[in-house]
Amino acid sequence: MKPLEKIDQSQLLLLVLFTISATILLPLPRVLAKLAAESAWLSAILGSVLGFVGLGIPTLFALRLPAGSLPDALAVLLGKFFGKVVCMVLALGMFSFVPLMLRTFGEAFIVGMLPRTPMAVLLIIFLLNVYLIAYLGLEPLARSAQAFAIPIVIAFLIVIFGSIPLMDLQRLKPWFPDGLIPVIKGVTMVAPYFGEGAIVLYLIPALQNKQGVWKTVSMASVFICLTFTSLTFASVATLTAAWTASVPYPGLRLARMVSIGRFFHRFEPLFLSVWYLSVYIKTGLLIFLAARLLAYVFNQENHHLVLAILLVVAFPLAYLPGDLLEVFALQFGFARIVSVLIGFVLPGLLLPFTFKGGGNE
Amino acid sequence: MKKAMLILLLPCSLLFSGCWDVQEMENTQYITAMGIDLESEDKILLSLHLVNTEQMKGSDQTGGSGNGDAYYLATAKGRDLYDAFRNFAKKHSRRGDLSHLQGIIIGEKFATDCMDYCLDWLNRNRQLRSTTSIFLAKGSAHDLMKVKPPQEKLAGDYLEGLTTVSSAVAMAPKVSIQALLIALVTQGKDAVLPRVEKVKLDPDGKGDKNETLQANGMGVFRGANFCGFISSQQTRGYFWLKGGFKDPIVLVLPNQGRWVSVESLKVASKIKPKVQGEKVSIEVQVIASGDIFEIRGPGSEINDSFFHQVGHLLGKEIEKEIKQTIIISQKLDSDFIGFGEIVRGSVSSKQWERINWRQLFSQVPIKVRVRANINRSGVALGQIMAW
Repeated sequence: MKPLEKIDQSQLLLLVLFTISATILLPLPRVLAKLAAESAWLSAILGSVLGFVGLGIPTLFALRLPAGSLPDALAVLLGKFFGKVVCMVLALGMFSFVPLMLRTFGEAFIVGMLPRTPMAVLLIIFLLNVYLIAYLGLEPLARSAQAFAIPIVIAFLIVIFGSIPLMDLQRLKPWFPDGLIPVIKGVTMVAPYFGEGAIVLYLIPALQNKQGVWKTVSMASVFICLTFTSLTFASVATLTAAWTASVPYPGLRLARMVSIGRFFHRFEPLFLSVWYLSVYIKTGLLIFLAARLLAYVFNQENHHLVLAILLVVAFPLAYLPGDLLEVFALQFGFARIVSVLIGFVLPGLLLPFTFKGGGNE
Repeated sequence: MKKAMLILLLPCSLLFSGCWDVQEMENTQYITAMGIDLESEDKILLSLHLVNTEQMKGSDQTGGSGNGDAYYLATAKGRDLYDAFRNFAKKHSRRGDLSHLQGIIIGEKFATDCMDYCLDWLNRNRQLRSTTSIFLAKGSAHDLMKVKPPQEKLAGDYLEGLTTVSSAVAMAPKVSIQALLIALVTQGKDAVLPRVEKVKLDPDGKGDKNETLQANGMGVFRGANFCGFISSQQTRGYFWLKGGFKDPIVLVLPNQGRWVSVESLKVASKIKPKVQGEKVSIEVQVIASGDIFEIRGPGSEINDSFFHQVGHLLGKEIEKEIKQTIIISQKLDSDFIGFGEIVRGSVSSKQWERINWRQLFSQVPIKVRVRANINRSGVALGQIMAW
């Protein structure tokens, strides 16, 4: 293995934030409004709290791993063979998100901005950029996240604050029109995506200083909670629950409605372009981690060849869903299950092993 | 290796330069206003104001004659709105563009019979700005689209300005695409559209140049169907409860025989529903304040008691206007004020279904209480009188 690249706490925070929120952010208010109607934003809050508790499992596991990179630590903890098996499972799990993210990215751009542009063109350009960042490694990825964080946050805030004049709090009532069950159903749509925080298994061992990891992960969860909740709140209070449930990307619709004075209209292309950056970071990170873990499994000196193979495989896989509805079905079905498996179940099963010989915390 | 990576990225720039979604300005026909009429059961008539780009060039630029009209009227027909819009291409060498559309006028027949068609198109259309204003014509929208208001170069600009000003003085509401769609999907609330009509600028004047459009009251809906017009006077009751105006003037007549005009600036309303089983009653509380704007006719000194008196009369006047609007709303069976939305917010989904607001609304007792006071009297206190 190559020597472990190092990142700092703020980079960890941003990578966790972008990974968990980037793809799900645009369609989430629709799904929550469909399930919990006017109480959708409550589902976002409760789901995020539950998700944070779940995110504690991989965080604790990563903190208790023996020193070194994730593959090395797993080899020490479980033996070389089982270490490789776990690496394989994690890599495949992380890679499985990538084709879906590619498709989500392509669909969002076609729906929101470029209806006549062939999706293949968008995906090829995107994949070339992803290859470059994932090729360069973890440190450039983390620095890019820092560099892009400011425009991403500003664009998001413009959408939220720009929709305040259009909001009507009456549209959020009644709070529990059909009792608590729809809210709980909504919670099950939010919490599992914190399983994508399985990236901390690789990132925490790469931290320069592991003190304050819990604080960083908590802060990332708070930001994710704020992101999900504010967008869902703004969507329902502006568009009503019924309308939110009927548009594919409520966030884009909100961006379209934002109007400041007589000169600032139709923010959705800019919002989409900035959203692209967060998806870019997330895809780059996931494919990098998958490539690194698979390179270890197949005894490759570096991840470059595996990375190229994965990207080539991801491209046709992105076309597997027949239409946008199938993309949503996979996003809120398959991706949710995989998130739970690699984020909560796998680290939960392995956690007792770290207590066996004393942890590294 | 890094150089190789950069070389790999070079084709990207080539891909970016040729965009599939490019729309060159010289191949685009900008549309600034649109009229929608129902001609027959399966025929929709679209009337479009198309910008004559040559005429829009400034006098300092060369190439444009600048003497003709800034826009012209064209029509297209189709089974639905999209079909009609596509048929527009038959007689035009440029692709129609709706991103600069400033006003949509909907014909009365279309609003009565098939507003549903329009909704989906308004919701799904990518080019439209959600802030575009919508109007309702008394009669045909096409007739109004023929009027060339002399006040502005483009009728679309005029329509946008008209709706802003008429809502500021509480004569007609300003309704955008997004507001219409929200009103139509909100349970317990019905939509309204400002009514627009043809008028003469000078009652004695003649010719096309003397014609313009005015916003006057509003058309109200029951679900997706237009069900009646209400006058600008009756529309004020709607504004007292919903807000959104800047300076409506109320005329009050105090007992000394003077006419006093009051500009009401601040109004806060609260709608309190009372739900007991399937019985619903509503109480409306309004607190208003205003400034004296004009006093006509001589009378006693202007003092505190005069202020109190006028304040009391202002409250009575506002109460009368609100009650009138509520009576019309219940008579038309259209909850355009949105009482139902507030009732729904206070009950569970099951109870809301049991209440059956659509049937109940016209019989719901609604109490109105208004408290008003006068704050000041402009830049003068007493009346100035000729000796």
